[in-house]
Amino acid sequence: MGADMLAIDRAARAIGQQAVLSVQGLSVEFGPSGNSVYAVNDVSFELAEGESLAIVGESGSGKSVTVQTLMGLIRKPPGRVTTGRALFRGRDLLAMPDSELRRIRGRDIAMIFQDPMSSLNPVLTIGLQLTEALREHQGLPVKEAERQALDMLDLVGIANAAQRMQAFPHQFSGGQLQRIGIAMALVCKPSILIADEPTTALDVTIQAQIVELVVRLQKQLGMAIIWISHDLSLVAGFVDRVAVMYAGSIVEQAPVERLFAAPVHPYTIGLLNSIPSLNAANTRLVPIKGAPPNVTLPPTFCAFAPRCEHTVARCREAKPVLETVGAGHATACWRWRELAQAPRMPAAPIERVAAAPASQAPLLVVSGLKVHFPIRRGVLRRQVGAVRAVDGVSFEVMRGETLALVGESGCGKSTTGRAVLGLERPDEGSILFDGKDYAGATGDALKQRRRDMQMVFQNPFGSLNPRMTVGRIIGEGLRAQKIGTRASRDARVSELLALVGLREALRNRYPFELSGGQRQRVGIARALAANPKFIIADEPISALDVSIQAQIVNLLDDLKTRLGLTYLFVGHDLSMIRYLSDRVAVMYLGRIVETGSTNAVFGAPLHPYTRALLSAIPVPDPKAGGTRRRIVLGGTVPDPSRPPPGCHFHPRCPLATDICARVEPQVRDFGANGAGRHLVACHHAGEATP
Amino acid sequence: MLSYLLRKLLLSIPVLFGVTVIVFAIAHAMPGDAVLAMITAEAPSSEELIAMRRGELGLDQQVYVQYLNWIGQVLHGNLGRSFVNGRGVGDIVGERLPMTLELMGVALLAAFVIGTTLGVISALRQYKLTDYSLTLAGFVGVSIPDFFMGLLLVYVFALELRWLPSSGISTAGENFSLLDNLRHLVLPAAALALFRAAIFMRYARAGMLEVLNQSYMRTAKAKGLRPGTITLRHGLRNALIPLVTVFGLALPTLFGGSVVVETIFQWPGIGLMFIDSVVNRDSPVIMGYVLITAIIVMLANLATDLAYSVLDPRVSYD
Amino acid sequence: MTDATAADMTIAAATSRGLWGEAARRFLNHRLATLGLVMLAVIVLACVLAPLIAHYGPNDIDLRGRNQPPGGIHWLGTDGTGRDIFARILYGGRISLTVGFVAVAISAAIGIFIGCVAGYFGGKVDLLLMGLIDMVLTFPRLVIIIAFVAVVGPSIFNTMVVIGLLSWPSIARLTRGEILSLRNQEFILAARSLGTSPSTIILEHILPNVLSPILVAITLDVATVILLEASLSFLGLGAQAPAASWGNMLRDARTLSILESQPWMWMPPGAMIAIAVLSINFVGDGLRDALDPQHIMGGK
Repeated sequence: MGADMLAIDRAARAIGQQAVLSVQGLSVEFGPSGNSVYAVNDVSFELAEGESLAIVGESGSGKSVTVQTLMGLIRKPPGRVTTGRALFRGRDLLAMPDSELRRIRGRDIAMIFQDPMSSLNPVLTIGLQLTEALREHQGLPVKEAERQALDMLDLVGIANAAQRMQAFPHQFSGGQLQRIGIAMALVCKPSILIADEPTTALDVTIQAQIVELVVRLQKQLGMAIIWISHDLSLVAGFVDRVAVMYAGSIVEQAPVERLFAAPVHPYTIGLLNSIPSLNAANTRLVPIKGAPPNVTLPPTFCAFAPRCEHTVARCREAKPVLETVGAGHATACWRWRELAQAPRMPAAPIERVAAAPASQAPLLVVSGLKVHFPIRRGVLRRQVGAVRAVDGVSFEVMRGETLALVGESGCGKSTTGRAVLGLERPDEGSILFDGKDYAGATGDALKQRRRDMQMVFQNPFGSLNPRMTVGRIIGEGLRAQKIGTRASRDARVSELLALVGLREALRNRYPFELSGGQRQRVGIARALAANPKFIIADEPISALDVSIQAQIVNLLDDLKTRLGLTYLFVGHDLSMIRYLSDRVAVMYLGRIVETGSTNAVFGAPLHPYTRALLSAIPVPDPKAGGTRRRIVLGGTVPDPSRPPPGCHFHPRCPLATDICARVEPQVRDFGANGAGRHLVACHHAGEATP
Repeated sequence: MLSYLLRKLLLSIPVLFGVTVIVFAIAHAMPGDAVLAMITAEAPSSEELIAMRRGELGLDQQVYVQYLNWIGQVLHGNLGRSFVNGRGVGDIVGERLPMTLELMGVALLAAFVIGTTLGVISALRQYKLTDYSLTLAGFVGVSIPDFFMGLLLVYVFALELRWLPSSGISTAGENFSLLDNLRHLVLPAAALALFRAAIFMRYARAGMLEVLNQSYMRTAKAKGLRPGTITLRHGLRNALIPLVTVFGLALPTLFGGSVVVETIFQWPGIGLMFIDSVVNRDSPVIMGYVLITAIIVMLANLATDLAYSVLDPRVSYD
Repeated sequence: MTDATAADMTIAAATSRGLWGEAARRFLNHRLATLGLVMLAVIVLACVLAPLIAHYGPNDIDLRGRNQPPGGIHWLGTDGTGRDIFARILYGGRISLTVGFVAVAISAAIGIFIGCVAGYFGGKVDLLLMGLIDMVLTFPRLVIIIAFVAVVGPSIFNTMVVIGLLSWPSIARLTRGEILSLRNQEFILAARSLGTSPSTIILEHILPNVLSPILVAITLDVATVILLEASLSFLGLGAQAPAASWGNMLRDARTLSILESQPWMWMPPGAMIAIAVLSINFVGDGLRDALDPQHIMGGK
């Protein structure tokens, strides 16, 4: 109760304060009228001075269009503001001429963007890009502008700022670039900062750095923030209020604690149910059925109705408007009152069907695997070094289990997966599958392995040949392996379509006619065609919307039980991995630093990198913010062609001592008796983090 | 950077070797040789005399020996002598090259400036009448051959309106003056430039449209910069980078175009020399011309790579 | 688990046109492309049916009607020897268009083959072929063609073959580049991981996907080659008198008096070159839009 009261209290205070921004009935369409995309429909919200508001939604929900419209950043045409006002300190941003709005942009309202690399101009020095807003809005002389820009770079934590002013964007890492992007937005000390998914393109430990930075700067500079995100868990930790958008409309908004504790809109509830909670790993995810909405229909009905469990006739006939539920809490649903009476969950949590316990017999044993990519330089293209993508990796996958290979981008997890399948040629090491070494397999041996082992790829767009029908894509493996007759292959394709939950009618469609989730199902069906025993899933859900991710994860889960599969799951989304894997191997810079059962690794991580990684996972619980200890790692992942000597992690490690820089740590087993092995490669494994 | 240039230079050696082989092969395959050309010019001849002369010139030796002799001469700067007037090819080219470079240089510069400006304007006015008209004009521009354009220009501006002279580089009988020369330059340069301006325009428009969709343009706008600053500082700079390639590709076509245009306007450059030598089967001049244009194109390609690395800091070349 | 969704239902509602149907629809929506296609069809038909349309043969001489301006029995007038300009344009078009299509067919065949070999095998083969391409591209195209014609002598056949044999490098380079960028696509990796053989990968996965940009390039190349042939013929190094081609019909205009006082002799063939090339450029542009892989590659 305490937390709830606090939330309402805070919201009330926020509302009592003067709103710095008030958006009223904003609608934006794209394209010619009559053939429009209804991107934003009747959106209203307020932002108080110093407040932080999150706008959360999936791709196409209109969250980015909303804020870009306020800033005058959408292109007109094709964009059109059809209705609405946006009052900034009483002046309507949408009604003023662009020359006037221009003086507010960057000075009073500033923005940071999703991809730090592409949102900075590649051919201009960062010094110039940092100072130009100051010179524009405050007319500062170059020297003074540079001094202020330097101060701002220091504030966001760019080392050697003075020298780096002359550098170009490509000379920085993604995390550093986002810091520079933030510095650039804040040089004029705006009163509102709009952050448009600023961490989506970044790794989880870097994401934690950026969030911490923004929260600190908000306190220092006293600005209000609108944080756009697709990730409810992420914003749970640091915003005051959340507005949930679906198909261009706000479906629910509430103080953050209240939204997580007592959501009323079926979509919000659905989103929360489709995120695995770190505490309840044994409850099956409840995905939202169906695919993201079609925004080409005029908004005359509840856009969520096709996917909602509680739809009645009225939902399809008229569009609900926001109604007050409680203090600062509003929702747009015809049935929220009735539904609030009923039990919150549609049904009792479903126990996850426990897979047959994994046997202790390994199906795959990888030892000492190395994959190096040569770097050629100079006049004669001599090899001067190598990117050590995979640098001595050993692990086992037991029959019937799911082993997750996790790590941040560039750690070598995907290359490891590809090497196991023979798509990359290992430089060293052995790959024993079913007792046979396949490391250098070619010809028939490789062909046999590819019958037993298949892969599901990350990109649902790039992994399907755009010029083949779904049926041909799924049947490709059968044709390649010359399995069965034409008729039997056709029958098998039908079987597979049904197995992954696609209608038979989709067989003759092309990938471009399918949604992302459907494409990923096709990719899964293709992998299963020849009845493999073992599936390597390379980030199969990371390109999908949150509500679709749960569908695919559940599908993979069902298939595993039904077909007795073994999975090697490559990923970076730790909460999903905790949910679906039996054991976890954590990679850093080409090596595995910790391996153990999911419970052991997540419950009692021993390697300092694992601890930092886990502490950086956003938790869908606003209350956890205070109690969780965050270990925010400094710096970035080093260049894999010049890994640090000794332990690769030592330059960033809070526990590092002399020995770490000299000696590569041996793998040691910390497993308790009977709980399986828990392997850690660290000189200081298990020591308390300072 | 230095290593990249060195590597490029090293790689161009085999290409250059291949180029000389092709040039030599063309000349070798050409009917008639130096001796026959001279003999027909001189008076009575006998088989013996021909054989003797061939021996003197080394034309009775193996093909590869002849090639080596020739390349040895070329490396010493000796491109041979014209069959027609006996003058050194190097001298003739040295005399005429400046005229061609003047014509091509002015045409290329005009094409680049006009084309890029219109292309950028077109992109900034996308979906507006200006854009549609310019795009259509661009289509027409790349569809009119150089020589037809040249004839049309002469017809309109020299014959009908009588504003400008129709041929030559200066008025015959008058003292050479730069102004007079420039007046003669306008029409041939325009004939060469219009086609290429249309090409630059299409690429500049495409480049600018692509740049306009980049998120750094949105960032620049979000900072509250003036529209002019955004377009020039953030947009144009990036849109120009791919145009460097177009610049490099335009140069070889300019040599082809200048052959045609010099013929129409009797512009005494190396293009006109080339056509005359083809008509006269003057193979040393043909070889000299082809070799020199190939070398200029090669140097231009190197310059293109260099320009890239200057314009785009991301290009590191190592 | 069924997947009946809003997006799914809209897909089901629209009948699937398939890939080519979709491309054809986009092409026909492109106004200039449709116009270009119609103009091109008219020109080709007129040239093919020349004997039925023109009242005169291309070399029939009307001795009483030399240097006739347009009008009357000679729609576009006659030239200095009394030949009907209109007839010569139609018959000349046969030559110009044939050279365009045949030369491009030759260069496309060579270019695609070399590009595929270089792109797929990579390594030393690629290095060697790219060297060859660089070598040929070092020569200005018109210049090297003129030099070759000087060797083999000017004729329509030689023009066609020489242009064809010297125009492949750009298509080879394009093909190679497309293949290289495709090789890193996940669906090629997927095919490899399924055990699909290299030849099947080339035939089923690579070729269909590189075909559209190549088709566009080939179309636009026809336009370029028509311009090249016209230049050659204008210089007297292509089609030889008395045969007519659009290019050599403009040779007379090198004389200032004809240029000034008898524009009907050179303007119509020049305009025909421009119109034919313009139509092909329109068609090429329409194809580029219609076959743009972004429509079917998806992604955000």
